[in-house]
Amino acid sequence: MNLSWKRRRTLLGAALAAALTLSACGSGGGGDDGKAAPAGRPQAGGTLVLQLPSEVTRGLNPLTSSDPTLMGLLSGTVYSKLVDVKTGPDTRSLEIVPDLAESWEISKDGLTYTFKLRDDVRWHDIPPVNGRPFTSDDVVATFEGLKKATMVHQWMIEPVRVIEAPDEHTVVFKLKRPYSPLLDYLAYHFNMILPREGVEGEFDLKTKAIGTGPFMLDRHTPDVEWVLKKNPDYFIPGRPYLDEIRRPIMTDIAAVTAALRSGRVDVGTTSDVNVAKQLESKGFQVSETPGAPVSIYINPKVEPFDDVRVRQAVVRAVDWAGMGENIRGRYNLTSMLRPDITPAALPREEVMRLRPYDPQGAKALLAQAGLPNGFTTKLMVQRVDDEDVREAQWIQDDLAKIGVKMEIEMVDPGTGIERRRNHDFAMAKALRGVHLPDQVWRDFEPQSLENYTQVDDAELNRLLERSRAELDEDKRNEIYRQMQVRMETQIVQAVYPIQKFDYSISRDRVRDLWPSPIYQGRRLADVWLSDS
Amino acid sequence: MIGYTLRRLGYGAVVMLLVTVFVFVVMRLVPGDAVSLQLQDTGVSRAEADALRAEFGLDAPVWAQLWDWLGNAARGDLGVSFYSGEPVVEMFLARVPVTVQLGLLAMLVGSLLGIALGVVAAVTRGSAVDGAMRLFAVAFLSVPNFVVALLVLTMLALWFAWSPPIVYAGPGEDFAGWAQQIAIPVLALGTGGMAAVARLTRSSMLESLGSDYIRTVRAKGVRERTVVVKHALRNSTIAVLTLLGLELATVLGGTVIIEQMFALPGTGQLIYQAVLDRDYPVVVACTIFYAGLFVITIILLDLLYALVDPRIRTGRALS
Repeated sequence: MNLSWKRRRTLLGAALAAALTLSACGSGGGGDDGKAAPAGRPQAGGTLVLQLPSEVTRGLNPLTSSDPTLMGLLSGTVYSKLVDVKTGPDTRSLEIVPDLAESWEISKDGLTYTFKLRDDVRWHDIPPVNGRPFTSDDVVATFEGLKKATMVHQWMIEPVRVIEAPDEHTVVFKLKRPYSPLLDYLAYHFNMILPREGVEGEFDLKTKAIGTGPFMLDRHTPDVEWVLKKNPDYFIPGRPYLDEIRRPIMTDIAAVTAALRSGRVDVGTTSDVNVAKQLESKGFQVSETPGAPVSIYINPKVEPFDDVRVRQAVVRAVDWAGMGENIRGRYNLTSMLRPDITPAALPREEVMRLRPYDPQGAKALLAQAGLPNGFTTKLMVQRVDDEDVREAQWIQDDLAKIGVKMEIEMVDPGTGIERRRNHDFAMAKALRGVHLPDQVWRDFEPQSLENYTQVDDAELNRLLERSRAELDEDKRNEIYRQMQVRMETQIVQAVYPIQKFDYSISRDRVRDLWPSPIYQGRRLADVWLSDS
Repeated sequence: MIGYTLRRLGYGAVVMLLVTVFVFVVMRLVPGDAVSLQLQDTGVSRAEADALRAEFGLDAPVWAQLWDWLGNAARGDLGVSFYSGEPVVEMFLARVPVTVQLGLLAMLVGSLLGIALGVVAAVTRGSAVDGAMRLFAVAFLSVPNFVVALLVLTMLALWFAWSPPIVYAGPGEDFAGWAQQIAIPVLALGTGGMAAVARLTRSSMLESLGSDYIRTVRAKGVRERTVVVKHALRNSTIAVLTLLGLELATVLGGTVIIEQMFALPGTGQLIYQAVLDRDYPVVVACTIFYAGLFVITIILLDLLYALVDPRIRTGRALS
């Protein structure tokens, strides 16, 4: 089955696009998804001002930091990857497309991945790399560097035994065992390809970024802004359109809103649907970007959640769809996986069947568990946005209807993470920043640091092993579906009831800025500014 | 006078030490640390997290960490940021100018406008102007400064499609841009102080104006303007000075949120982010700065009292 993954994904993606649109029908307003830009021929030139929500705090080296802000700044813009995820008007699911690798083949046994690299790529013309050609040796150096790294995402390529470069434009990954998520991980924003000089310390990757991407790092004023400029030698002819991208660091949404209105900022992001609606009515373009899942954890080590019926009662007592519609505006009713990433994500109807909104049934479950009058518990809420608080209140109200008195405890992200990792909560609510299916399941492996509710389910572990060894994508997705069903019905220690959307608001002149499920800066190469 | 000053400085040093130790310990008692935050969503193992913790010295007991820190601090080394690895003193000094500009201008605007309004209100006691001033003062005292900032920002954007420049440049680089950027924050931070100063000036002016010595001055036929400015205002200043000292705390506290809102790269923004990031060395360094500034201001005010009011000077000299 030396069929390219790319083609298979395209077919699947197309087949599922319609179904996914239907399953995403919980929209409470806002514009169309991936609103098409008005007709017009792309034109080159201009400066895009794009809000950066926080400062990069740990340097620029992707081998020592996985700071999301760093990814948002450099991944896909300055640095390219071997493969990438597709963005564009019709993208509905994760589709792997070429970046530095123009094609790839996977051997029948799943143990050998052969990537054919582009032969027209040069590094940015910055010393000490000085615009030399990009070769397979850089790929080998990058992943050797990653294997030696600690405290970042080296686990993503753990099953890779050796990476070889038989010639300048071919790279071969040889695996210890079949590992189906590899290609997804190589497209993930963490896995940027670095020049050998940087990996070997000829210059400091922490302060300097020399890549092969459409933009080059130009200048930085600490805590104020980052500026990227066009790479004139980018390997895709005619791209990028923009001359410059300025990324002012702006945290406050009121300030961003004001700056959008005054035209000082071209693109800003908010999770507040009301802000988005208001600006849309004023002629701004609003694109809805699928975001992180809202995650709810129920700790079975805390009574009465040791009884699975009590956990089931709690998740069935809450009107999750109502919560999404009223608080988030646009949302997806989900099980564990993200519908914008994988067709394995259970569709809305299936979720409603497995986890119905059923207060009567919930009451009956509580009665069976010997708690006909309910009980008292606490929900630890990690607060990032106001929506987090309002959702907690929604849950509180719904649980009160079945006699469960739930107290809300607000914490900041630092406290939230620590207490979740120490299993120090009865119920917890957060937003989990994971994207790929394998990455989601990795949380629930017994030894995982992020296994907040200490899930240790033999069947789930077995299914996860099987999914990693399963090279047929349809069969692998079927396993993922079984895993979701198991989480919803048998385990019930973590539910990701809805997926939130973020709203990217841009001025009218910004064209062809498409949402991406991961930190994906290469899409900025397609952005252009119209005169109007 | 010198003995008095030295004694005040000594107390100040003790206060700063206590504040520093308090913050050092309390920050470490707050759940979560820089390691958990940095490794969030990376999927690393517990062993790796513990290794990083050891690198930062976070595995030692709090008292041992404090002891180490005090030893280094005594040698002038306040440590490096857990995030950027930069020495905290450098990070901090780079950001002081913005906060000092903001703080001083806000205090200046607040006190000058406040005193002027207070004097006018006192002189026109009972009139419509006086009434308006008092209403105004109550309103600004009750509304937090960030709300004022938010309202001004939003209204300017809504009505005039104008907002301040978003990329900070110092007054030396681009004065016009700087002035536009800092105007709303200064006004927002200054209004609270202005309202408080105006109210206090008004009441102490009224007290002075009704006193016997003012009657005597007036009886001598001195011009009303001189009566108000030279005699009544000067005697009302002591109370206002005390208030200004306390206002400084409000203004500095306000910079934490306001700098964040307006993307001003000052110490307020630094401490806000450092607390969220659990970047202990930065938090402690910022605390020392804020506590130090406050202590020094209070001491300066004490000395100013003596200058304004000779009775304090002689009183202290005699004791």
